[in-house]
Amino acid sequence: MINILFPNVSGRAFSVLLRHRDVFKKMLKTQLIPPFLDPLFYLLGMGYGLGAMIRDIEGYSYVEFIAPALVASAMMTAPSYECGIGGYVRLYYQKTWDAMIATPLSIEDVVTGEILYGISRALLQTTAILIVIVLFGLVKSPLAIFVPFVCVLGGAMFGSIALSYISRIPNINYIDYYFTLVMTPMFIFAGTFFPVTQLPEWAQKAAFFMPLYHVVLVTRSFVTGDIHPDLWQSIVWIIIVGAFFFGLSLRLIRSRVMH
Amino acid sequence: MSAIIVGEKLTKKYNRLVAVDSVDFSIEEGELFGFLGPNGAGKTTIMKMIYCFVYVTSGKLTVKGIDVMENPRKVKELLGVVPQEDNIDPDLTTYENLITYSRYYGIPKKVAQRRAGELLELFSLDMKNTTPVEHLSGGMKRRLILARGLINDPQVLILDEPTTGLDPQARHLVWQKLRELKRRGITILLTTHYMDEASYLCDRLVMIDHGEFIAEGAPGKLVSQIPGKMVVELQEIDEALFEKIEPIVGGNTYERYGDSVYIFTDQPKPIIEELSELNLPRVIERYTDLEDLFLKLTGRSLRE
Repeated sequence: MINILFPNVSGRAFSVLLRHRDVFKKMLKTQLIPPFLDPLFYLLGMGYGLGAMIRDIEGYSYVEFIAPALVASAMMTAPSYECGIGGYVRLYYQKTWDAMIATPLSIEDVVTGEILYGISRALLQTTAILIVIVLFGLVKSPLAIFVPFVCVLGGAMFGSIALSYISRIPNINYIDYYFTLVMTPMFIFAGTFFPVTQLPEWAQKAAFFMPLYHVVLVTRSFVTGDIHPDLWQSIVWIIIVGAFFFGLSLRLIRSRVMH
Repeated sequence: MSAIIVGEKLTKKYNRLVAVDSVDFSIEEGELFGFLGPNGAGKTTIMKMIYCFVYVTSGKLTVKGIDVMENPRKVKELLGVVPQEDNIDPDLTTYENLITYSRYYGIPKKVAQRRAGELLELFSLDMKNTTPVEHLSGGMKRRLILARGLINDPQVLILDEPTTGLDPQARHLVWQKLRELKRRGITILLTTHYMDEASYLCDRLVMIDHGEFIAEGAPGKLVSQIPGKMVVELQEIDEALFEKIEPIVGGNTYERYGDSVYIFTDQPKPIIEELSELNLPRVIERYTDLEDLFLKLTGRSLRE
């Protein structure tokens, strides 16, 4: 069954992850501080600055409302950068993937390794944000320890979506569309900075199809301890859509690379 | 000796373009086997089918009896691949490139470290261990790719134009290393469009054009297919001069191309003596080589 859904994937995918880890270690100096600063600016500027003028949302102050959304958004942005831009560079410019698949690695191992790395980066990023919001007293529930699990599922889903997208673009400039038309709308409208109930009815229904909407919903439930009635539905949604795009990315990348 | 790589009616089509057209070959264990041909002849496609990068359209291709389409992982474990384009990992150093690559094969760390050290020494790169690969020269990058192709101690080494773009020193170093590897018993496949490289290195070779084999055999035997051991090449010959030459060369096999005339003969001396009266601008006498055969078979028109 697994073999049919996700063909040619093996444990060798971890050797790809190790390659990315080694490269990441070299960049550590530039990669370690921004994950802490980014959410800090958002919290200070939007949460406390802008938030001071905004009334409470669903019983939470504005900064309490957006803090979990910042965590959830990182589950989207980190894998999108790594699997989207990084993946395309390794696929098209550096030919790193070509070199890898001349070894016993299958192209599916390579894709899986990319997704594992996307998840890893998402974990690092969300951990940093969690630390920051803990320090600001914005984590309200011990259920927050489940956030890394959400991150694994969300990271895998967003990594797979990004890889599926880059498998079909003719050049790297098309990644701009992905960021502008896919990620930015989610970052703004998926219940991140204001509840979706503020949207017109049709848009509320459309939000259901936004992957980030579900990731935000689940993350917010765990960070605030205020379990949303749709929690399970959203977790299942993420798993199904994630699995779908994982399987799709394996097939699309194979058909792009191998002829 | 037994066959290690066998292609039967091997065919590759890209949509309607036939890149490799039903070729048969059998490469013996320990052999240094060459694929010669102009650009776009199908050499690289055959290599890529062997290292499972490109699907076989029809026919059969096996490495050590393993079908490349059925079990690519197993096949790739046996191979070392030196591709045409430089695809070393630019984000890593020289040494890290080898170690990282060894992990793709699942080679234990200790073994990988020992082999990486030996290979860097073998290819005179041991001074460059910690150098980011972007700072390596073209020749060094090529040597690193060769070293990388050996990290898994392969039974077959596949080299796609290993010396293209190298200076003579680097070229000879690569040749030396390849002969050394051959002595160790590794089967080596290479593609090239350098005839001197092919005749210097290969035990056997095939010439490919338009996806088909047009000649095959040992380099020496192939050259002997040309009538005459020697070539007298006359340059800067216009129509007026050619009319004077024709009666002298007429009895021999000759070829005209551009302003040159090539005369194939076993006895060049008398011809050259007779021609000397005409005071021709340039007369070159040399042995026939693979290139003569190659051009004879493929024609002189430009490819691509």
